[in-house]
Amino acid sequence: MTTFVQRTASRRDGESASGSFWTGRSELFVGVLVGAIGGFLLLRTTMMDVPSSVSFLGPRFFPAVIGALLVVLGVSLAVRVALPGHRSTVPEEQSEMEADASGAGSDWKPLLLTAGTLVAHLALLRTAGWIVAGALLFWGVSCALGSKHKLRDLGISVIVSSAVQLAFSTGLGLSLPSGLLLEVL
Amino acid sequence: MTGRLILRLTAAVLGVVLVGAGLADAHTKASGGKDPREKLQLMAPADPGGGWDTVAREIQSSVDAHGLSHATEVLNVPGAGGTIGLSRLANQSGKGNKLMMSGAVMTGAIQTTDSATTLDDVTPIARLADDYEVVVVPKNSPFRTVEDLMSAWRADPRSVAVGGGSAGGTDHLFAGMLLRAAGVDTSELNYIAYAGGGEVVTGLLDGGLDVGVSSYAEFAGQIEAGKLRALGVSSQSPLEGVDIPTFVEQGVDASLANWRGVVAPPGLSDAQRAELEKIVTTVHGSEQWQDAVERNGWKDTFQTGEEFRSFLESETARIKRISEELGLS
Amino acid sequence: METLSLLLDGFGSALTPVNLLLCLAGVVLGTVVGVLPGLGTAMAIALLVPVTFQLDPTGAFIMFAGVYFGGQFGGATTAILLNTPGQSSSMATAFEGFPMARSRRAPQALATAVLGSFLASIVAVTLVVFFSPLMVDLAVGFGPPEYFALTVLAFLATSAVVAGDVLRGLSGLGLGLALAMVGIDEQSGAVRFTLGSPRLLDGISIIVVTVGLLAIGEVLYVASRARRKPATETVASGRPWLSKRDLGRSWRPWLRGTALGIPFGVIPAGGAEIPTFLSYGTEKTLSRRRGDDEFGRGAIEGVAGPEAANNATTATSLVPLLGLGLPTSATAAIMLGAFQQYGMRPGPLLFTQEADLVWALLASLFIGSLMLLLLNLPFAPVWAKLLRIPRNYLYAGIVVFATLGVYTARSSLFDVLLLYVVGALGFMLRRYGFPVAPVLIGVILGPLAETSLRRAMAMSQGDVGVLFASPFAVGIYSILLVAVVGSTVLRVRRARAA
Repeated sequence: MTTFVQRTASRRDGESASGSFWTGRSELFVGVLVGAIGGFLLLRTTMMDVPSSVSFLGPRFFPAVIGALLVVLGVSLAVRVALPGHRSTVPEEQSEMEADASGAGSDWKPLLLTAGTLVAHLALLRTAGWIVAGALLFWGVSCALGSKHKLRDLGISVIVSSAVQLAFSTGLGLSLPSGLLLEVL
Repeated sequence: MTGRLILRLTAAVLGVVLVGAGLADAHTKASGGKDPREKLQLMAPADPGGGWDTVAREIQSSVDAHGLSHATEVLNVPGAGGTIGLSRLANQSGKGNKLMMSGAVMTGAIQTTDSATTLDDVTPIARLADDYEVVVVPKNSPFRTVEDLMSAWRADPRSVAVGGGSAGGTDHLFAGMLLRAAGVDTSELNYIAYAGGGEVVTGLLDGGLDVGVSSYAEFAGQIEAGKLRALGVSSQSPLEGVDIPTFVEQGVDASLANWRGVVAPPGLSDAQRAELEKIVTTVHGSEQWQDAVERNGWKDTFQTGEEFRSFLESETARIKRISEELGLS
Repeated sequence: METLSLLLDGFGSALTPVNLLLCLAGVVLGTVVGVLPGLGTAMAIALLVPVTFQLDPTGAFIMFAGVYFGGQFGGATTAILLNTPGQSSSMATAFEGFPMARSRRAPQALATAVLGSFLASIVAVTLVVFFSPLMVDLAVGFGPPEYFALTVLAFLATSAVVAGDVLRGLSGLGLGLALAMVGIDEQSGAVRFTLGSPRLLDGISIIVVTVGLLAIGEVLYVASRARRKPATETVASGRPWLSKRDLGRSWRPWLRGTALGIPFGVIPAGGAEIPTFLSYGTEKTLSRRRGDDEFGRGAIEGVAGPEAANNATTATSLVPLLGLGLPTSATAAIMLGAFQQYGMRPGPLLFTQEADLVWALLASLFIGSLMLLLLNLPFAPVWAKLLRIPRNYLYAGIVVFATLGVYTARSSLFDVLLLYVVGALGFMLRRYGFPVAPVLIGVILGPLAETSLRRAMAMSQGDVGVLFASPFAVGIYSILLVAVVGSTVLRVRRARAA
């Protein structure tokens, strides 16, 4: 993971033709991933249990075709990035995004904070209940994106998650997890 | 300045009230214990709008109308022909305030999905109502009678394209039973799965399918309009108000009931089970429920206790055998 | 002329104060629920069905019609403002709608969506009223080989023709198709790629993929750019109304979207996704030809077209529902259930047996669309004020919203986990400039492509020729050939010129 982080962070510098082979080539990772998913499909397809009554094209045909396609695409992506003289070609949709992203790759601190919040939410939803886990989710993301008043935001978060609880269970009649603590009380 | 202060204070008070109300709500949702008269949870192991969901909501409205429980809620836990809901129910041992909708579709799905949890792991409460499979052909089909279809199967089973619901469902299983009744190897069935009876209709009308299998309600409109012709119905005895002969009457040994019923978590005491049976029996006797049976075109086949348990046992064994023959498990 | 008098009778029975109120309640409820990803109109109608037994069938169905249209619009609103489509049919709207909102043009995006929806619904409902028997015949003529051709067209159009970079486009498509393969195979009952988890037997829900790729992916991307562009600032909303120029740019996409959407509602397994993506693709290609490079940064055409297509499809999907008893969407499936509850049988005889109800329902579709227009047009600037919320709260809200919608749809924690994993994939795609549209098209149409091909093969007992037997299929393959050859030639020329 850390090597990937470093590669990504220095991606743009590759254009100034400095640094090692890896600079500006973190996209290789995508090619490898695409190829690996294709390989996974192919491997699992050969291992699949197929009902005996299957006629004509069975359940293995499509996954095999897609797996093969992904392997070819993954290799092509990787080769294109690895070729000398590669410049990161960004399609037009991204031009604006990249324009305001002049500079290095990603900011890892807010990104990891956000990801961490999501993981924590997942871990807490059933045990601590929606009100706590939902508030944490709101608070965590708003802090990761640069909150200025952390304490005030905590209050807002709790209010948001309580309001949601009320709206869902009384308004729509849908149940959200209430948490182990309240179940014991 | 004071204006802002008042505004802030109001916001703070409102906030505290909201949080308090939210917590209180979560608390009531969490409690409720195991008494079905306090809170009854009806689990529909399918998406909203599907067959099990309809049954659950019909039960809910009749429970509410008769004040059989303080609070009822319908919980949708869809997935894998109901087996996701089944395994969830099996984990709630001893909770006597939960009922889950079940039926023939689930027995089939347990086979196809190779589910670790089966209906042996829960407490059967009651069988409520059945509907039946109808086999149809397009109006200008060469198959005039069941015998025509049977001989076509005997001649070349793969040449007959049969359409119905998803693989391993009751439609598929019944088609397999027919093939076996014709004396043909069941795995020779050329079965094409569709998402529902409506799609099967288009397959039949555009000439792609030779035979369609689904519940009567799905085909009724087209049969009435004369675009589809029914060859037979899967019930044991003729159905009231339906002018289609049964397969048994026509000398074909194949019958299948698409039953629907309710089951409860495992590990219930006799008293808990009796309480749930009592609630379901009252629901069954209610006008709302009888009305629902009528509206949905079901056949009332109410059973509880030992009777239902032995039905469940024999039916499960039969479905298991046929789905093994179809190579589904 | 007989049709016209029947329709007038329909208006007569729909235009009672009680029914108008029910229609209004339906539109409001539909909009509110449509806003939540995962819940959508299907859930709203399912919740309403038991309640409506107190009403007479006409009143109940008028309310459903309100929910039906209201939900479509609710979905578009969140797609534009939050990049979180309330339902899969508003995915294509998010592609241009959200960038528009970010560049202070949210009210315009919402307004063009409302007006386009209204126009498309009115045109489509009118066609349903006058030509529905003809349209039913069209629906029946559409078999597996035709569907297969159509999916191939949609695949290549979004991944190779429309996407800027063919290799990235095709990779996205392949990833989407791979995601679609997970779960029990409907045709054979074989279990595929679940790694032994029963939670995956039903596959990965489209809602999870859509919301994950678009909403969660977007939030992660914003987080990864947080230091450069502080997220706490607000996006001010600009001028509130559509300018003349906006109108001038919108009306052609509206009409093209409507024309694309109408046939797709009629064919049984169409769904609103194909026409919205095709409309998005058409508008994008046309704008490129005009030498316009606004697409990707908030082009109004990219909202106007897909929204019109979406609503045209919604309206015409009543044709297979009423005429064949064939639901083409989850919402329609629940309405079918409701028909059966009232003891009615959708099918060829419905129009004669239940004429009063059918015509009242059709009339209420007109009333519902008008109500939606009157309710939402003035509210477009109000909705857009939502964007005044500081951006960190807005994105926190998006995450909470997306999580809630996905969780409550199946009360499954596993789905939330999947949502976040797909979100991470979405971030990666975004980071390396892979387009999202082909992934979504792969997930949505992958199963249709596979089942159509396999059904065609089973019906013809393995004869590949059946795929090219109908003029429609051959027509589609020819269009495809021309498009692929054309765009390749263009690319080569451009590369030489550069």
